Amino acid sequence: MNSTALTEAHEHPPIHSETLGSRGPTVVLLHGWGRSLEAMRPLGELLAEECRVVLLDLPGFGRSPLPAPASNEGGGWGTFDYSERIKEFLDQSGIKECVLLGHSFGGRLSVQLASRYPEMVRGVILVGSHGLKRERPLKDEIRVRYIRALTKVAKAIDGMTGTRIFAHHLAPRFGSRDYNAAGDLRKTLVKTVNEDLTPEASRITAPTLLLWGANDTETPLDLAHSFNRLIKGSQLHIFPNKGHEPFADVGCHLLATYITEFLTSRGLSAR
Amino acid sequence: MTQRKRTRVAVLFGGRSVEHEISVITALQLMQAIDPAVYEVTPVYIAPTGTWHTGNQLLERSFYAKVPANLNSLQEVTLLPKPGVRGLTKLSDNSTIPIDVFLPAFHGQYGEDGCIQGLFEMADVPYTGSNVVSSALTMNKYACKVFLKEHGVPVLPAQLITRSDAQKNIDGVVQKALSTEGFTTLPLFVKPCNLGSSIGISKVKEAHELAPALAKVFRFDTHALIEPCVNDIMEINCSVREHNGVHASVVEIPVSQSGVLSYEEKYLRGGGKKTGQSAGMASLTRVIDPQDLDPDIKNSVVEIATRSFTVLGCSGVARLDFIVDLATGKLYFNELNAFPGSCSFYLWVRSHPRVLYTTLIHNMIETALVHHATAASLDRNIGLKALRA
Repeated sequence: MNSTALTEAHEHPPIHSETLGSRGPTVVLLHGWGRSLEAMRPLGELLAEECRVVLLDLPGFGRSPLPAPASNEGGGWGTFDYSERIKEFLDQSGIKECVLLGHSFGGRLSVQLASRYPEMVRGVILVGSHGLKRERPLKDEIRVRYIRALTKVAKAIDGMTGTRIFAHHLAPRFGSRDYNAAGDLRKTLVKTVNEDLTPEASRITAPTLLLWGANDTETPLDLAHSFNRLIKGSQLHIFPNKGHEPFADVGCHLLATYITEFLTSRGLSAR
Repeated sequence: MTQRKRTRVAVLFGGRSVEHEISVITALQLMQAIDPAVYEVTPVYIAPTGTWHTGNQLLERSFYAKVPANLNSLQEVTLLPKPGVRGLTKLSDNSTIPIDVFLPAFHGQYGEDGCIQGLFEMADVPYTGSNVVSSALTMNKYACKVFLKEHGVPVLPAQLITRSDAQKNIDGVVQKALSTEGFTTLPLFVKPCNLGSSIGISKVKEAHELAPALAKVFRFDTHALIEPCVNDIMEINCSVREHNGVHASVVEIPVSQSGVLSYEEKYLRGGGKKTGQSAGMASLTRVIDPQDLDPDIKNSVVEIATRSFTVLGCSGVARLDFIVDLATGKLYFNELNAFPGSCSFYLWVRSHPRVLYTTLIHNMIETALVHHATAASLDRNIGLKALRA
């Protein structure tokens, strides 16, 4: 049985969600930055045969409105705030136990949730996930420091003279695609991107599956290996010829095969 | 990650067929769904000229935009019809790329019609899908209909016209076609006897359109098949596969915009994909497992599809296309695709039990290995007696 719902909290706008399937463990799918539950739907539909799949639009994405504190004016949200809002949503939806499947930004949130609520999160599946600080090659490190210094100077000048050097010249040139498209979520983006969830990842005790595309340039393989080292007993699978969204197109069949096997082998499928 | 010994599978695609590009699309999709922990894939592209090439660049869709110029960046290989080689032979130095099983992902001539299957048999290598006879029989639409009719499968009347007969006496051929038993009224469908993907098909509404329609077919094929056109028609497709027995998928009703599915409708319309790229048969507008379809029709399709697949000796995954004359309620077998577009995975994923594309490929390969082991156990060598007598 499939259903769609808008779950409203007291102080926050509702989270738009859809539930697919009705039996087996509850698997909550958290999408990447700038995406919506639609990005996860094909994979969710395949998993719904054996799981109760909850697809949700993260606050500020898809059909879930942006909570005021997560906006630029509100100062932006970090992964802690997001995880609290998702926990609240899951509580209101009556979900006491679940497996979290997070892609990219959704992976960050899964790590935060799994470390904070181990009694609720029975399994974690990270797909091309962010969340750890990357060790940059010297060349990239120099570039980042150079851009930061420029930004500092430009913002100082803008502050003193009322010019828009940062917004008009630096951001379009040096900002990432996500940064430039973030709009009212820009502060949230900056906050979450700069978080290093190493301590949180190392606290995860739930069975964890790591699924990565070998050609992922957004969250390169060194992140996969770091998560694999940090999360005790985690299982890593690398898919050749796949990028940051290994579940795209027919790739969802391949990932569904691995996820189903993981849930069965870790005794999670009977819940 | 623990590494088990992987099965080396050569995925062959492209080929000397008008459905060359469709084969590339199917193969690229298939190689995205195959389990890399179990299988080590060697892509083998057969260029339209017939040369065989391998290289990891073949896994990128963008590579094909610059064919044939960038074929030079690939390794040219071949399969020798010599038992014991167990792999592809590099033309540069005659060394072998070991292969455990061959997966032909061709549509149409030379790849789906028994030709390449014959080469696999000569080389004594395991291969997925139907064997030589089944592939040849199913590719020839006329032969397939005649064969299945003998087995009690309902088929529409048909007339076979050869290119040489048409060249000798086109008026006589047109007269012969129009007076075929069962062709009571126009329109008629005229199609190539040995092609799929709706290439070369015409709907003839007036007698004078028949000769040009035949000419269109003879651009692609030496044999034309003429069939009556059922006016009030519903198409129903069903996939059948072999894996520890023969199984049928749920049925689908492809939705046509113009009465007959054209090549463009089947493969170029894109199905609204965001990328704008065609995803082959998987992107076609269709109703899968229609809940309001008469269960009697559904059951008949499944029963006839399974029976046809079995009597034709097919293996792997096939798709059987049927038509229902809505005026009479009669069901007719139309054609069988021994290796259907997108491997019909979109039907299996909706079937009961559900089969993921990854599993579908895995099962095809398992079945191929079983068939090869069975064939290897047969006694083929009775020694040289007659020559020594």
